[in-house]
Amino acid sequence: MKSGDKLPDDHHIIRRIPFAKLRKDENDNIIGVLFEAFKLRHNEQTLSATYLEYFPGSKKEQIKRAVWAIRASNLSVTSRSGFAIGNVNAIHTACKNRNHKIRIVYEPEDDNKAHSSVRRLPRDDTDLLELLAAETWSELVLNKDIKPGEAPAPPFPASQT
Amino acid sequence: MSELGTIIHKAGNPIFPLLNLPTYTGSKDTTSLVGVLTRIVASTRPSTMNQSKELAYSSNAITLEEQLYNSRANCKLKIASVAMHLNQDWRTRFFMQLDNLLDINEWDEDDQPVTDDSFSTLLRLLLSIRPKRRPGLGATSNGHIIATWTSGKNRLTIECLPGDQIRWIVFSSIDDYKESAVGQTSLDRITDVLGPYQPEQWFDR
Repeated sequence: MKSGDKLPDDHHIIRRIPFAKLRKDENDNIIGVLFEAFKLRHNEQTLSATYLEYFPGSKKEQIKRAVWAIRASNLSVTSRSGFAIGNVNAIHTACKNRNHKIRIVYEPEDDNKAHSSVRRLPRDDTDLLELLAAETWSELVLNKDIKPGEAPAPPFPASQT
Repeated sequence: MSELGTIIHKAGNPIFPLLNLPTYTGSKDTTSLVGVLTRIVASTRPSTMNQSKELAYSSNAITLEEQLYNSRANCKLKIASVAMHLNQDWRTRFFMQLDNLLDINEWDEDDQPVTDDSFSTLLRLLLSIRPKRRPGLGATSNGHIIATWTSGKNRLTIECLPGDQIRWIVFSSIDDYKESAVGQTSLDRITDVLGPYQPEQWFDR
């Protein structure tokens, strides 16, 4: 797999969500993700994520390794951070249903060889972002629930080793 | 001048540099209230801040930690100014939510702390709808506070914009039937626009 290749439909991406963009109840229990977690900043052209199937093992093992890779990257992962997981095809479909033709591609970076990008995500479709947060890209893992540790992603995807 | 404005004009109090207000010398009652407000603000002060950092409040050299401190302090002062409308337990728990939201250890350094104008809109929203349940709190990257209420799979999300404007998002899911709606309106219209979505499911439980 080379940089810019589209991710397979049945694969997944995982995105770090800071505490301020997690959905909480009135007692600060984390119960989900806010639409804002998927909103592009003014200086961003693509939405960053990490390619889950880049890592070997069961889904649980892949999640652990992906979180360890994110912790080892330049991103700040705090004790109350979370990670949202979404299926590539489901994200494509949700966007397509609202007339947005996005691309989800493998795009390794120096600090995270498993990095992926969501391209052409609209900046101003709050309805779509809420759908992603509520249903499509909403499987949530909390940082505190992942075993302590960090390790950079290996140089090549599991499928190529 | 508002009651809060009068209270916080007392000279020599450490909160004044935050608020950039002129000097005022008040009555004994005022002095007492200033003490209460000062303790509220002091309770939010990061333990790592030292005197030299406190002095920075009177200059333009504001670090992120100081910005978050200012934001927390200003939010709490605004709440204190309407304390008579909120019971003590509600206020105490809401303060804790603000402390957690604006915690330097959790804050994304690329995000702007919650702005005064946005928080004012939230406070007026809460005083307008008087929910029995406090909202969950979040924030946008550009300093707007977000209030959320969740009832099962039914979600209400309100982004508080400056000037009593709000962006509201309803997402409901009943069996396989899903409904969503988004809009922007002024504060005085919020009960009207949320009416069809049975807002009591979020506010009254």
